[in-house]
Amino acid sequence: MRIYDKINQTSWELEAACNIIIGDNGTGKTTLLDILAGIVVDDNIKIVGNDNLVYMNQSSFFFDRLKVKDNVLFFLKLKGISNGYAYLENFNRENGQPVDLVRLWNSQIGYLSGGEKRLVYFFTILSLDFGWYLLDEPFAGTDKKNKTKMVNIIKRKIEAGKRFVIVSHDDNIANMFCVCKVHDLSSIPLQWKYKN
Amino acid sequence: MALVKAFVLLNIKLLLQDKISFLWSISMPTIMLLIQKNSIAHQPHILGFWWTYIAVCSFLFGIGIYALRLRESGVLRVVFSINKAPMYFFLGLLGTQIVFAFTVLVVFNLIACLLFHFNFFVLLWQSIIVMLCCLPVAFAGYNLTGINRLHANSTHTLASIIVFIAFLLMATNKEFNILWKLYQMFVNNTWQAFLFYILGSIIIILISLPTIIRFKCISAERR
Repeated sequence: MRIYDKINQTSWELEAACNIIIGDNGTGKTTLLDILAGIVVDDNIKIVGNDNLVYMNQSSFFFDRLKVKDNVLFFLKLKGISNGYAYLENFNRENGQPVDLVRLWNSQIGYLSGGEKRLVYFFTILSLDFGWYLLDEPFAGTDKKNKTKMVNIIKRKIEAGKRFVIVSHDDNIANMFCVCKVHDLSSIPLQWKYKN
Repeated sequence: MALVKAFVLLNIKLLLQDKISFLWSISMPTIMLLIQKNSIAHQPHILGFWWTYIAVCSFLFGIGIYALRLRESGVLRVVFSINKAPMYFFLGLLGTQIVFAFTVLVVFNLIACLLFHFNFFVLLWQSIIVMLCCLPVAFAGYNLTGINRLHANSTHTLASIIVFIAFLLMATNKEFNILWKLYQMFVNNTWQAFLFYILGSIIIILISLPTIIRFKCISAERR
């Protein structure tokens, strides 16, 4: 994925399989992901290679009043997957059963703990087949056990040729992945501004 | 089509969680029906005003204002990231509200038939036509999503006040009553009224199409 800054005539490439974006609070990490995902359009920025991606936001944006199955099946249907449970069960098995699907399937999202909600959200997004995965603070609020499960899923995806952009405040995150490149937002040669 | 169905199913599940809105949609017109029952007994066509109210409420609150609410909740970031399909999103909301309005109309017409001994199927048929005639309201209301920095809650409150006042003043103030004017357009069987409705609907739909296609899934008020 390559990003061109039309004003400064500069460009920046996310060439690694796993790209980790670091930066202080309020420096525009989430805005960058919004732009990469194409949900914020900035006329001064041109992006090439962002047509096959999915974006996991910082907050777990699920419908809290619905059950896990209703949310998950809906998100899978958006990608054209109709036999949702079998699809997820298969993905769960391939990744060493990180999620207790049987227990969570009929639970209301609003009643799950923050960590469980995030794991289900992460699991759903990562189960979808895309070329790029943009993850905004994926490990925030998760315990060590769940974090390990999530990292393992990402590793398997990288092995399968998928690519990641991960925004994180965790300095140790780069050590978790063999093939990754850390990008400090302050050193990226782009100047963008989100116009409301 | 499968995508529209997915949106409709999800929205119906969400609506079923919120039984109060369904009860309110039934009880409000029913109370007014009971208050006005003496005038209705001899003029069944006046029920068209109630049907217009039900359809306008469904299409205004359940589509434009509901889309604002969903956008503010942040959930649309994920939805549009997986599948950027603003037209299907709109059609999903529209389909849901047609189902919702139809259900409310069935229950309301049943109550009206029990009270006044009208023919249920005639009422149902006429009310469906009125509901379909109100479809441009759905398109017009969706333009709210094109206005920057519009709060869902404030918009909902303002729209509730206007619609509620228009409904309450149905018997007294007809000159400036939007609901009454809309209802009159359906009962006026003149070619001028028909032409005005057709032209008006086409213009509303054409004006609303860019808003539907360019729908922004993130709120300007919340990250």
